[in-house]
Amino acid sequence: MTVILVSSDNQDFKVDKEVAERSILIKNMLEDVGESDSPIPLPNVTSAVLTKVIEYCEHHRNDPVQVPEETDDPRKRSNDIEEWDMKFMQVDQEMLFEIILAANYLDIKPLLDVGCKTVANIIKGKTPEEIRKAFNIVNDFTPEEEAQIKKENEWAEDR
Amino acid sequence: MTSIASLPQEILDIITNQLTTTHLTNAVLVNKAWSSTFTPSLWRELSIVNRTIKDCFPTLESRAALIRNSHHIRAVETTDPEVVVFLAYQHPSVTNLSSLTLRLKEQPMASITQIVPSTDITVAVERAPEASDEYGNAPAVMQILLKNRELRVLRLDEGCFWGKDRRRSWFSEVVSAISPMYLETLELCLLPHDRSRVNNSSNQEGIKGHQETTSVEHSMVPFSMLKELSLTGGHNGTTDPACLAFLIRCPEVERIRLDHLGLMMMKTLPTLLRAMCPKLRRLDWVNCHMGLDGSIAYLLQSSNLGWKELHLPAMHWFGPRALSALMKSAETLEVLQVASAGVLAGNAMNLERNAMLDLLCSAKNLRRLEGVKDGRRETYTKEITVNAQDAFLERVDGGSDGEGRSWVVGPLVEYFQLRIEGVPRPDVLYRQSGRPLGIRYTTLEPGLRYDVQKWIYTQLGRMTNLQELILGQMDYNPKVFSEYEFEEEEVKNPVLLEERLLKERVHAFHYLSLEFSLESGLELLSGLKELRVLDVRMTAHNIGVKELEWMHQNWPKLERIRGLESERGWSVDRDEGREFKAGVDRWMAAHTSGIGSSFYAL
Repeated sequence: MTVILVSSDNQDFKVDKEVAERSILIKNMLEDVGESDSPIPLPNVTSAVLTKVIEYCEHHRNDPVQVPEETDDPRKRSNDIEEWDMKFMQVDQEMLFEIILAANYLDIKPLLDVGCKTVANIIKGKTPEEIRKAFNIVNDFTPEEEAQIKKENEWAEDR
Repeated sequence: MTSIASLPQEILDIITNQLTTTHLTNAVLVNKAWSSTFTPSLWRELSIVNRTIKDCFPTLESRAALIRNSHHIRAVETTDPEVVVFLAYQHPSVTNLSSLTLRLKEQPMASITQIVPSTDITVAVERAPEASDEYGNAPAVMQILLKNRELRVLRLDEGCFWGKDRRRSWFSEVVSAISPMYLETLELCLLPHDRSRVNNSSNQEGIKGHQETTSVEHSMVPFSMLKELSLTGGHNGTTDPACLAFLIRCPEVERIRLDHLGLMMMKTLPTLLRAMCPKLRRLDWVNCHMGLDGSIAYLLQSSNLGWKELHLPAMHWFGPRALSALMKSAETLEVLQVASAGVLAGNAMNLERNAMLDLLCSAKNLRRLEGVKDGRRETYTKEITVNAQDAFLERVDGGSDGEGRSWVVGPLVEYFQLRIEGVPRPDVLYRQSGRPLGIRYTTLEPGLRYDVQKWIYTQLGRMTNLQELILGQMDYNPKVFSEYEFEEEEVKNPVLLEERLLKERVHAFHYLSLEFSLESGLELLSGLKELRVLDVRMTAHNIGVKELEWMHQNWPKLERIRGLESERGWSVDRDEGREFKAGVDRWMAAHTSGIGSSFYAL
């Protein structure tokens, strides 16, 4: 069985129900509506982003339902991204944030987690200048402001 | 353009949960947008442990920043009483804490008069409580608790219950100040008195203290969200059993954590828990110096519903009564962890030889069976053990109902750590060192050689979701080496270590273990598709290249075998053993990413 998803720019995407139901939002919608052929509008997701999201759901269509992870220190866990997911997340940063927002909206917890881990991994271990480079950001602080912030946050360093 | 600043807070929280404060201090320096995005996360957790607030905020700027950002603080962990004073009396107040951990017993007590002039945190200090001669930790802790009504996690040590002169306990007052609304986890130390002071003080003062305590109105509102409770300090004879009366406010508690309990507590606590915490199903018992069979049994009866999880410390005196108490939970038990099985190993005094077998035959919900942790083993540590030959014979002789003694542990099991001994092996003739085995190992009936192994494989083969199968011996606690003054060579070389430990009457190598050879019936384990780790350290296994190939095909997720490297010095083929090992080494060198086939799919 297939369902039709409609992106914000009015493109139709025909996908297997099983794939679409990786999104808890869509799953709940389908349960509410029952048997129906009517397309599902997703006004918050563009076709470019939806293409990526569907690609992810296709790849993970057979994954078991995620059980909440045991409460290990979350800080140690961000390296455990599967290889396929890592490659999948190699997109420009605007797309990365769009995917995260879409995963949040569509309620696809594993995709949201992978996206957030990817962002965290980019930030980790980098100096401010390296982060700016990674995200293509211009520094709008004056040197005085920067020095001020550094002083204020000394307490948090060396840990 | 979508940027990090356009993400909603709940997504930012998922991201920042992966980051340390050091990462965040870099993030706030990126630009203005990032600064305002990440500043709340940076201040979310204030951890001042084994440092002081003055070390952390030495300059005027940094203190101003602390006060300016204090409304972002959600979690505090500290050993510094001055942090407590800051949280209690600073204005504007910190009122949004969801987690508070105070460990104050190592530090001298805080007093306002001492603190305020010596720091510059003087924007506005609220009027301290009326009883101004009664400063100490407890009144300040109460102030914090009265301001923060949305705490979910609270951990207080005995230092939090000290008044100015440690003669009387503020335990009841402090506990009464806790908002019961949202609290999920509570950790309390039941040792509120400074014992030396109590002993030195005169009777009269003791009575005066008692009167003060009882004059305070105590809250009886239940902690309706409280699921996890930790009670420490219960070993001291001076613990006031009346402290435990607050348990009546904890009707929803499911998990309790206890450390070493004194005899008094061993006698009181189980009854109270049964009456007041009817939902209790999980026990973390982290330390037990002197629990005797009867009192262990008594504590194991604290759950009305039957235990789901039991984490037990070294149980040197675990005996028939404790076993019978444990078996009452056999059908509900999902996790059993025993740091050292003591006589639970089954072959020591006054417990049946194969007591553990009963559990394997009735614990149908078991998910994890865990013994001693790696690197924690002491010389007197005993793993949870079954004797395979006995188990097999019981199954056969048990007669009429045939499968009656089969293990019920099956597809639910994820982690299984068990010492399986008594596997008859006519091929095992020597110790690693080349010396012959004792007579009781070599007189076993040869006809049973593979029947017993196959029967055990059949039992293990039902655990189709098993991820880790630990049948080898855990590594020793390094402390053991200093205890016996081992030579460095002995520690490095397993053969020498074994010889040396034998002199201490400790059997370090496990000669009559499962073979894991194809001849012995390895195929019976072909259903273990989820297996990631096989641990056969210090056992006389027989895993060669053929077996590795078989595992490669049949256990796609197998990452590694711990204890594979051995020269098979326990058999008649001592020279062939070296060839055997060389073959295994070559195979492993060719499969560096893991053994299972899934690592080589492409």
